[in-house]
Amino acid sequence: MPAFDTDSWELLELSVKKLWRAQQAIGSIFFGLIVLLPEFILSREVPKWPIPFGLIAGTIFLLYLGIGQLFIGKKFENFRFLLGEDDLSVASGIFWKQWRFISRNRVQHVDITAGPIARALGIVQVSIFVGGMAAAAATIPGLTQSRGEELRHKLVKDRKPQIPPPDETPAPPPTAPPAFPGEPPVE
Amino acid sequence: MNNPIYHRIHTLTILIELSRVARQMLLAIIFVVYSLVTGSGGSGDFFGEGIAAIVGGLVLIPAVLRYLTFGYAVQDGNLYIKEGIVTKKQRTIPLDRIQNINLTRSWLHRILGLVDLDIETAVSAKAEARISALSEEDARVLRARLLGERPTHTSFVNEERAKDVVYKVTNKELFLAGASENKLGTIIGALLGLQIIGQRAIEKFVEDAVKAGRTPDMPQSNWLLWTVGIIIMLFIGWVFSIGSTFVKYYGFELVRDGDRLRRTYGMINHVENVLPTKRVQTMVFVENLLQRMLKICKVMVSTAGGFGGSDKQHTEPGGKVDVLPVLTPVLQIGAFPEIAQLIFPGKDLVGIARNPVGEKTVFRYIRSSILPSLIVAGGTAYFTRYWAIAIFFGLLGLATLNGFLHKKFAYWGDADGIWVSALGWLKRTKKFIPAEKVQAVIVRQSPAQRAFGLATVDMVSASPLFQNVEFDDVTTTDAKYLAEEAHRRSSDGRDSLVDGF
Repeated sequence: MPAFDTDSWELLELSVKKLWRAQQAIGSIFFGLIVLLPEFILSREVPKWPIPFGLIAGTIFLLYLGIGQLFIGKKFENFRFLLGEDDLSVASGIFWKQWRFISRNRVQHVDITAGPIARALGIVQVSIFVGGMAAAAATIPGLTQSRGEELRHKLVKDRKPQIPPPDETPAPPPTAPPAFPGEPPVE
Repeated sequence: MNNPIYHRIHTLTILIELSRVARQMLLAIIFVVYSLVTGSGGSGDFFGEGIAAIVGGLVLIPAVLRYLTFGYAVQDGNLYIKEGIVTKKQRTIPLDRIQNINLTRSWLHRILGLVDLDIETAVSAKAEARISALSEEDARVLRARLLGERPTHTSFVNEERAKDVVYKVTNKELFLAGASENKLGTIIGALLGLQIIGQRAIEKFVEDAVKAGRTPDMPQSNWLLWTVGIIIMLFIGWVFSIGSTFVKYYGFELVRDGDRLRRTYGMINHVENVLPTKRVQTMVFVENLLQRMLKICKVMVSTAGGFGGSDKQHTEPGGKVDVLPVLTPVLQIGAFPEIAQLIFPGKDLVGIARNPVGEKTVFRYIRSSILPSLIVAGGTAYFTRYWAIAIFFGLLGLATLNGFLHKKFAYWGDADGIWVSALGWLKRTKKFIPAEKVQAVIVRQSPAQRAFGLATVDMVSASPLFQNVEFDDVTTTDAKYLAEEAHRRSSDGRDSLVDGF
């Protein structure tokens, strides 16, 4: 049953914080580099450009890094999931919050992925897919390999049997399919 | 499994394939023609003809090879397709996984009497398999076999069987649809008009100024010219919109065939679809301001196969063939309940109890717009000085109005197992999703929504076109109810992706 009170839900592995920290740091570097380019152009083209080269990009990099790192603890606190009897619930977000509820009998397939940093930390990411959605319906990062596989197993294998269609009529006995025009009937 | 006995596609497919390849190699062909023309006489002849032969071979050989290697068969409840020249590919599609079947004909197909048959499964908005091209007779037979029917040996053109036509779009309705549809062409036309007339106006303005031999000031007549130009271009765009609606949807007909609906349309490119109504994931009802005044609307439906996705514009010899998810491009509003009955039988979608969105929605809109308004006003402050304050409050005022109207017109409801969400005030949309078609439920809450106890609920369907049915700015209590109830019903219900074909 969905609920918005997530305090009793499961947390991720603590080592996911390290993963997020590393990812955020890499992202900050790229962000800083992107800012560096216009700054470079400005410092070249504008005569008497007053700001020393690299100061703006450096400041933005540090701010982005600092703020990002600051919120990783909160992000961890807020990322929770719960595998219920017939559903999976995933809650995430600090300011923009999100709760995702997926019925277990709607799960089409489950992916387990791990990047190089995650592998070094010994954690995996579990992505759950439902019908028709190209992107994962829910993604749970930061589980140990065994915990991830257990979750996958429960999601894929231990689901309750499908309810048969309401008007289950026995299939008619197979008849030979009609022939295409001008060709012999299919055996 | 027996080895499937493959059927060949139509021989004239080579012609269609040729024109398709020819299009891709247009540049090379132009080059060849050019060298043939310029190189006439002397030793250049041989060179030009040699290249012509090579290019011709490059075009012809794949077309012939494709014809020779492509095969399809329907056997043991599966559709088998084999294709490939170097890399062989054999595909097996279980018949009960087919979401819908589209038959399309471009003008070239129509001249040659051929049909392309697309098969959509629940994989993506794109067609899973395309059998191109078949004779009309073969296409009919194949479609019947895919649908598990006994094929009747009549051709497309003189279909003798009595048809149960449920909706036929009249020319007047098509005209109204084209006239009221907001087309991008109108905007582009207006912009072009601005540019052309504007340029002339500026030239004239400069000319006058030079003649007068004084510092130019803006004469009034130029504004008139601009206005007239815009109106003319808007009118041209409007006429174009009507024309394109006619070409695209001419002769639109919706035919009921048991649990299935069949739609045919198109003036130049001909499209025919089969839609099993039980596989409809979402239905969308749209009407804009003008259409509301004319009492017409547009209804779209989508299956897990997309039912003709918007990204599914096949490049055909006869141009692009649009297969759109429209159930009807235009519908008299009064006829909507009847059409809705076809898709969701026995459900009353019109007379449902309407639950309002949260009381504080207006405040949410104001709060959400404070920061963007500040940024916009601050950004223009350099030029506008103190007017920036007015701009800020003006933007807030617009947000308030928007929030007020949103609150007034948005509602949600439960039509006996079908979730309904109505959104928008200028262009109003109503989305319908049967409870058992909900794949997942997502509840979102922005900081502004949290401040006023509101949330947004997304019911995710398996349709790639209308993925989410959104319930915007409902109270947290309602959000909780919607999430719990939608979730409960979808997990109790059967996953009906494959029912009813």
